[in-house]
Amino acid sequence: MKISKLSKSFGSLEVIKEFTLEVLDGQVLCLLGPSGCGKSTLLKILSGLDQSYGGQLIGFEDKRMSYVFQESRLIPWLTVSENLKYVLEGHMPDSELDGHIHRFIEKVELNDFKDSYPNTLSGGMKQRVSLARAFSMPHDILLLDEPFQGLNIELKEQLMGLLESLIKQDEKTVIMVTHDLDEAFRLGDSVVKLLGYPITDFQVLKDKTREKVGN
Amino acid sequence: MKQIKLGEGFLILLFWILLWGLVAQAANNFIVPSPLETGKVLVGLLSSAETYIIILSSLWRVLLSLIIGIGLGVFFGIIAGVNTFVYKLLVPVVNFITATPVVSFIIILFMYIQNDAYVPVVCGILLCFPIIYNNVLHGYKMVSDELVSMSQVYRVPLMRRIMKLYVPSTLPYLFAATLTSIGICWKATIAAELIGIINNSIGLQLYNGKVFLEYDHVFAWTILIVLCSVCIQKGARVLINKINIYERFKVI
Repeated sequence: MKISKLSKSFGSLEVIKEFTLEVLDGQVLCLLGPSGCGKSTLLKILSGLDQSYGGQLIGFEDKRMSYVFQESRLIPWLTVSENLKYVLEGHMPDSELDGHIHRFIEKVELNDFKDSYPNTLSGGMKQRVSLARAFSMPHDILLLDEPFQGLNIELKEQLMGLLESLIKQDEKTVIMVTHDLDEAFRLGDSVVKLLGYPITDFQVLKDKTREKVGN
Repeated sequence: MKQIKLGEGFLILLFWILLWGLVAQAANNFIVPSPLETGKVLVGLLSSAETYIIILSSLWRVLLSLIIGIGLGVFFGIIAGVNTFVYKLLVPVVNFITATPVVSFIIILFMYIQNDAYVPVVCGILLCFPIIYNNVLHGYKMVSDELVSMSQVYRVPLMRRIMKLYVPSTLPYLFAATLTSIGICWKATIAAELIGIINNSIGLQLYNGKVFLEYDHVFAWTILIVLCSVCIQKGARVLINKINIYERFKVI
């Protein structure tokens, strides 16, 4: 997959300018950059949420996306399992749906809360539901937009461990944006620092996939 | 605002009834009937089976116009929320209906509808439609952009989005609009019945009272109308609170 000469502006403000980057299949790619540099905008473009941009996205067109947002984005009047069902219905036979949902709720250790409403859950629990929703959804690419933002260190550590194990089991392409170097190095096969404002270039800080290829 | 206690309420009511009695006495109990005379007529009405048939007939018209008005308001409110073109198309219609006086509607409807009995129903529909429509549309627009974009990323089909995201979001607004519509519909239906002299209707009873100078009947029927309106509103409130999904919203 390739991001080719991507440009994006908000009025006269350019945030991304002729940015090109290759994404390998099955790679966990972390895009590192300071807050407000346009990382989330890049993810929105990749997910198809923002379609007013210049340049080309090659190989992203037919891909099914899952997205973990900065906020949990749960529907307040649906329970935890209903929130998962909301996105999953139609993607598998009804007979398998409940079992599938149950498996993922179990993976994020929220069995006792499957019938709870989001307003009764803590911030960390909500984000775990959001992870369960993203991983349970059949996808080719998983997009993560600073999923640990606003969480305390302990919760962040817990969630990062959970996310690490989910990514290992999932074996799909992951593109994560973050401003946290530790987070990026721990989770990413490749860590790329976005350069410039507007974003024009990148610097590779870690490339495990190339090491693998080289070995 | 402080709640009025039962004893206090009784005293306040007694004060106004006494004042009414004094005004009636000053008017020789003719133009303004005394509370006693009105009470006697009211008791007479309440003990007559015909009264209940009349009330139920009017109530049926109100119910029919509410059901159709709510259905249309919800349908077009959601369609206008989904489609900007439909929204723009409906702006002049909704503004026209909202700005037109009730009596104008009633007269226009009597001019074009062959069966007079339908006029109060159509009038009720026209009055409650914009209230329901505007509230449903408002509720639809209150759905957070974050939830909408989440639904887009996960490619949730439009019908499911409407049923699971937009409809529940509009429900509190719909319930509030329904309660308002009940009162308005009730008043408009009776006004249309009166102007159209519709058989078996509360409006006709008011008309007869005026024509035959039975002012005590007019007053008694007015009290009955107010009592019915209060009962319907309270009943609707109880019904809405019994709907489980509304309970879910209460906890948020």
